[in-house]
Amino acid sequence: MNNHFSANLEKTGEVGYVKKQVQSIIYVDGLPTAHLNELIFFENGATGLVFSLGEKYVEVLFLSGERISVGDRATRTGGLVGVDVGDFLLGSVVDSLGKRIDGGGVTPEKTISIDQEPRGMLGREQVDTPFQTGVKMVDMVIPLGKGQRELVVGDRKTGKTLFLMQTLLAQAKRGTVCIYAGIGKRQQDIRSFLDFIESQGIQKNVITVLSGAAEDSGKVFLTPFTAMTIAEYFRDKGVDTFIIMDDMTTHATYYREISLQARRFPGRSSYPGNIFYIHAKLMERAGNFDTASITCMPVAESVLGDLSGYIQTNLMAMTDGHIYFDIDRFNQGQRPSVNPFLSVTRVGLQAQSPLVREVSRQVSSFLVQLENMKDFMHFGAEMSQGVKDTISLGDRVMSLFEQDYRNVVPVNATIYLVARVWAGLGKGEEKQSVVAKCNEIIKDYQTNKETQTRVDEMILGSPSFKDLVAKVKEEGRINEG
Amino acid sequence: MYSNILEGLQTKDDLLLLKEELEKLKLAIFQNKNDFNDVLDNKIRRSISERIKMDLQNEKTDPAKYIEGFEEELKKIVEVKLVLARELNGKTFSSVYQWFLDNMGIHVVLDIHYKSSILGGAEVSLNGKFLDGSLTKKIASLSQE
Repeated sequence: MNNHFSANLEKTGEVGYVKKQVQSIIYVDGLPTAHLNELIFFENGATGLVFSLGEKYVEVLFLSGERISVGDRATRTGGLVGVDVGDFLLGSVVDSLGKRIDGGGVTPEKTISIDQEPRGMLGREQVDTPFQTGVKMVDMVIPLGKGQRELVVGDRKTGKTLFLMQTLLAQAKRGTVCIYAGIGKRQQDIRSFLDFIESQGIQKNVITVLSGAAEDSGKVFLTPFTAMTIAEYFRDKGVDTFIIMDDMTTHATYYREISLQARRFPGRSSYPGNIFYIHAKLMERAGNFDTASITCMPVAESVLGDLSGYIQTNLMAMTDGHIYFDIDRFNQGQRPSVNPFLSVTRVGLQAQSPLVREVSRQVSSFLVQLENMKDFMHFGAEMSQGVKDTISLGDRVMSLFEQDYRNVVPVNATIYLVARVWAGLGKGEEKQSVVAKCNEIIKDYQTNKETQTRVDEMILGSPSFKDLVAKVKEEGRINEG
Repeated sequence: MYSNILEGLQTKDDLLLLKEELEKLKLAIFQNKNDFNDVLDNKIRRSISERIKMDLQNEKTDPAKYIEGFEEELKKIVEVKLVLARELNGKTFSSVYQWFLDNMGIHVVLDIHYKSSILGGAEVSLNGKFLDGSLTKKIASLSQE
């Protein structure tokens, strides 16, 4: 008999007997005072979670351990499913129950229940600090703030995960604790992700919470909750955290599977009625708090570019904006394939400096103007010089936003680049040449301390974008002279 | 009405057997009266069939209603799961059963299992409540003290 089972049986004095099992749902007779989400131990050491309480049986969601048989005994623990937390988690890879799967040591400081109530409004603060993704287009057009919940949505294979890796890289380098929740992932994708963080040398600031596609659906279901609990632990220690939930449509699919097995009444697209609540409660646990922030990027996969799916629109309603990865732009070769017109940031702009806000507005309105002109061009109208100039600037702006997923660009370098393009950088040149020039400027900024100081001072000393462009032009004239 | 039959029910096996017999009678009712009598005479334990016949004669009730009421009564019986170290003789069994009847105040049936590792005493489960009265537990707690 398992030691945990015996100890809990003695503690609670309650026993139940397994009557039947349907996939991951176990029907237990007994356990008269069991409560929802309580951790259950079976006599062979397996664990489960009270999923619902019926007239005849307690429905237990199987989590881990040996397979159980009809007649096996089960007992309550009196506690909820919890995760061991501590600094040992930094750089670790854990499963959805918080158990290390990378072979590393465990020195837990405490165990926290994964079902936490979100903090009330008293512990919360305005989103007022910029959150850098290191992706030029996002930092300029859809800027984010620390504590923001930003949905990343798009069809499969449109570069969503690559964008998330870039953001993770940018944040990990800045000392933010980054938590990646891989929900029902393929082993190959997990390997690629782990190889990426290892190759970038950022393991120390990254915690990976994983569940594979072949694991029990109960474990997959718990993955984002465990990740969020870990984030809350670091938040309470005063450390800013960044959490990625990759992806929530898979999470909803697994939850739908569990609910259908448990014979819960199916709602729209067969999802259970409480799917909104489950996700909304999870999203509500992120935000900017008085101790530190939890910036959250849930991911949703769309099908054929349809943004109006049930889970996608639910998540849009819960988050503070979304970044849309457009399959058409991806196929046209745009990297990252972010669609600036269908992407939204609700609280991000208020967290930016006045200059960034102005640049963002300038670039956004320019892109809208460009799009309108391109639509107009479809009619075959003859172009004036003004239109040609706008199209040329548009091409250069899009070239400026081209970015390899292994590179992250500081915001100041991006602002400087935008000012350089506005001042005429790459005018009349081929796209490749513009991209090369931009990369050269970024490299110079990142490797040359003098350049970095000069650019930073120039940006700091510019009250407006117009002023910055004028300074950049002046700088160009001096260099030419 | 059913008390003379229920008095004899002491174990879960007795209960299951009785339920099976009632099921046979129920099926027979929906065929014809001869079938019912045939089942009552030949496929049910004599001790039970005689008591049923007596009840039906005395109460002048419909067999279908009688069996339905009987099944409802059986649902009220509480199962007590008892894990013992060794088999009990008839006398000890009776005193154990009587103890439950006296102390619980409700009709119970005992579901007895054997596990030599508990050495002595008993583990009792009732309505999801568990009581470990085994000798193993007693020894373990004494050694801890």
